[in-house]
Amino acid sequence: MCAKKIEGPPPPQGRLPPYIPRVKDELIERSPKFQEWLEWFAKNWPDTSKWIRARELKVEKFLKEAALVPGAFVKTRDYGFKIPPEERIKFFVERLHEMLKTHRALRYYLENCTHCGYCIDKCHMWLAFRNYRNSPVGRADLVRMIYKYYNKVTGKLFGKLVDAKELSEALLDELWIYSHQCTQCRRCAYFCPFGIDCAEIMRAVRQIFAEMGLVYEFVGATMRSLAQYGNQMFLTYKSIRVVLDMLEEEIKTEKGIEVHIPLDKPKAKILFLPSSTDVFTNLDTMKGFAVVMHKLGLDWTMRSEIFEIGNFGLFISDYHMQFRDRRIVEVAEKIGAEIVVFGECGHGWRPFKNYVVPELEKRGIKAMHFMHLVVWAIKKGKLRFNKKQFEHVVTYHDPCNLARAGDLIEEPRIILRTIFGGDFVEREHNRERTLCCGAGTGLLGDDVMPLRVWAGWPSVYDAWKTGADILATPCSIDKAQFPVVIEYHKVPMMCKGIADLIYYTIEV
Amino acid sequence: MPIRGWQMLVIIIVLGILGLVAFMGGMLFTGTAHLCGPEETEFLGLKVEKLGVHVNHEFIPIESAEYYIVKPAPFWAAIPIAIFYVALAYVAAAVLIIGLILRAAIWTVTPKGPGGLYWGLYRLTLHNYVRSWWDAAGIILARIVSFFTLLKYNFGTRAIGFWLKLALFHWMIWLVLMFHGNSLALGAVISLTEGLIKLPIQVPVFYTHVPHDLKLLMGGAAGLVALACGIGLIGRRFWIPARFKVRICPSIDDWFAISWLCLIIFFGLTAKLLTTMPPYTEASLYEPLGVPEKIAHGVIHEFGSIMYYLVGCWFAGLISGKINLAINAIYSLFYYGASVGPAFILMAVHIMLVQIFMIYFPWAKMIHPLSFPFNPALYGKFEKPEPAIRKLEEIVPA
Repeated sequence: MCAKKIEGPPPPQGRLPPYIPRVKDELIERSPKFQEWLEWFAKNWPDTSKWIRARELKVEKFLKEAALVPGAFVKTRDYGFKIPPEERIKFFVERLHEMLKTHRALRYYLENCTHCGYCIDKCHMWLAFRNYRNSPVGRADLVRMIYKYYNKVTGKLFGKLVDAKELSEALLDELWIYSHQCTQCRRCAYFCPFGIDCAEIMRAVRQIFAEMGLVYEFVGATMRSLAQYGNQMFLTYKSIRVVLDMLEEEIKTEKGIEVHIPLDKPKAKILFLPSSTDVFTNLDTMKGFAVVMHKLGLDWTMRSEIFEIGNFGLFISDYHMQFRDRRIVEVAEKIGAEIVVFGECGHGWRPFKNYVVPELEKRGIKAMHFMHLVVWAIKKGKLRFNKKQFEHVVTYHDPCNLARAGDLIEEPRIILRTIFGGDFVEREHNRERTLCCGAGTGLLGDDVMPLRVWAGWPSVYDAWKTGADILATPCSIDKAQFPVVIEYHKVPMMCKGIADLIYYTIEV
Repeated sequence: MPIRGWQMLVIIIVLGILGLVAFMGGMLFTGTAHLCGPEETEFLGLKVEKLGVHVNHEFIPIESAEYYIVKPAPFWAAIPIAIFYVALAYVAAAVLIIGLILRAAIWTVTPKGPGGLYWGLYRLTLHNYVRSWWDAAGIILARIVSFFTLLKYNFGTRAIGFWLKLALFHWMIWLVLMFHGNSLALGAVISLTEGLIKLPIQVPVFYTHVPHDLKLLMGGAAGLVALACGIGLIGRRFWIPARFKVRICPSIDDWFAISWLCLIIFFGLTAKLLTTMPPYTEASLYEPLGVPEKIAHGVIHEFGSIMYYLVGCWFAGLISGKINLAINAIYSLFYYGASVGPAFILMAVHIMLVQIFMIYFPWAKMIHPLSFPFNPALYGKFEKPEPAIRKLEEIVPA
């Protein structure tokens, strides 16, 4: 018996003005909020999203401290020093030139694009705003024109003829705006035959801005929390413990079992890394983790020093990114962990898999994702589920960083098929072709709300078309972003984590 | 379980080899050059087959053909030809090789991460279960060769038209280059066995035994398709701004690369089509110009046209150091172009355009087909959950 599907998106609520490019599948026109789109964006075309500006935060002591922990092998400038505006241009050009010598990917992606334009309508930002400058090649060309002007002979000789442009205050401003409207989902890189990753170029730009002393306010504040508290939600040990105690009570009431959720155990075989939002907004996710670990009888703990798998340092600079990663390695060593289990997070998995896992392996510690653990337990018959406890049609949103940077594509599907069988439906744009939630790179502030609600729309629209009423996703940013988008566009759908669904359906 | 990357790599390599073998058409059976005549000479104690052309079972050494067909360039013509078709050719080849090495070296020495630290963040999951470098290499090659990502569905569209243009354009260019490889091999044989640097070798020359009609059909069709698709791609550069309703692709570089390629194909193709068909293939036409009819007939029979013979001489002259031969061959192209018909001059234009393209190639985005080994998506941490699972099995209570 299958659960009942919901009705799909409504017919087009109007037409885009003729001067705005359309796509065959009229996704903007089908939003119940189409008229609001016209009001907000149509009149600003072609720079539809240029007026949405990520608020700048001047870098202070905390970011300097967070960035320079390793020191030994990172040659960088002194973070936190304030550059007067007139020197910013010089600084940007110099740093770009330096980074070309240290970042092969940046050089490769700047030099190899043939401008075929195929990536433009693959970007969810372009799909949402129809703004060329807010498309992969449009954004990357902002950097490419500076690169050509200052680093290529042809750029110096032919200037505008080869699209080389001198860096100006206005161009620097555009770079700030559009580098912060790239959510680094890397969908462009998947579709490009050469795999040209415009997100990598934008990551470099963000790093230069951070070195200038400017970061996006929401991301900067979150990074400060990570540096000060070991989590991104300003949580102290006591506040985490209080929530965990409450969750233990809830599990007892809802599932009828006594589960102890350990925190700061001095020694444990498994170090579990949750997202700090799992004790803040996504409580069912934490309950799912706890019940699975309890069912498997594992010797595990979480640690308040690093109660975080999110890594907003990824959105600031390579150096900030190391902060969380090094702390995970230190804590795992300290408690004598044999395995580090990673909870539900998208972007955090990317540096974790690529940097933390090799570092842990050097120390004889293994690491895996929570979904690897669950799939293994399912295959061994250690976990059983009953979907009658939660009768819904479920579709799966592949988080960008799991699907395109993390090799975690089939594991969540194995879990969802096991739990929901025929009630699990695939979206049209799935696996590596998945669409970003619209808030990647920490675009979760209220200052960018008009951007968020429309940037997430292509993905929600794609999910709505399946007839599912549950949008499952193992990513904390998704779980913060999708409810906002769903509510704004009045979609009869809920967003849940994979661990949430495990918790609802697990047989204890 | 979807097809693995290394399996794709094997498929690409096998298909490539099969294609090459099929293309070379019986090379395994002919062994050595069809041009090789019955006469043999000795060089350093080794037998070297002498080159020539066959006319009614009569063997005419290649030097005789050269004597009659290649016209000596007068002084006023020799200087510009020496500059634009000899010196420039060497410069173009040097710039191409040095440029490619330089670009490769720059990419190689640029660290993969900041300050030399290897982050591995560039790993792009192009496909499920990419577990090794070979997997990644196979998938990236498959993408570059087949352009399959263009056929992926995206909000109501698959770029089938774009895929057709792009794939056929690139495939046909590779094919045409392979045909050129054969023609150039012919020149190489002439020069290596007859030139200043005489090597005691027998170089198999493929393709010469293929009937000229078939060659015309194969080369002509490949060139025509490449040209049509190239023009289609130029058209797409106009269409894209219209599609997205903004001014994009503003760099002259975007237009130069594709337009120049199309021009090269156009001149090469028209030269080929015109000179391998009547009246250019009528041997009697060359009689008044001092080429005996039987020699002209023999050369046309063996090379397809007088023009190809001259281009072969130019190339042979270049690689064997016989500068005079190269100068005279180019002069002859203009000579026959003025006397017989302008089709010969198209080839001279084609050569000039190629030389300029060779100089341009390594410095701009045209480098893209050779950038594959440096693709950052090839590097990073690959998926290997098994060791962690084994560890888990050790510590999970029974």
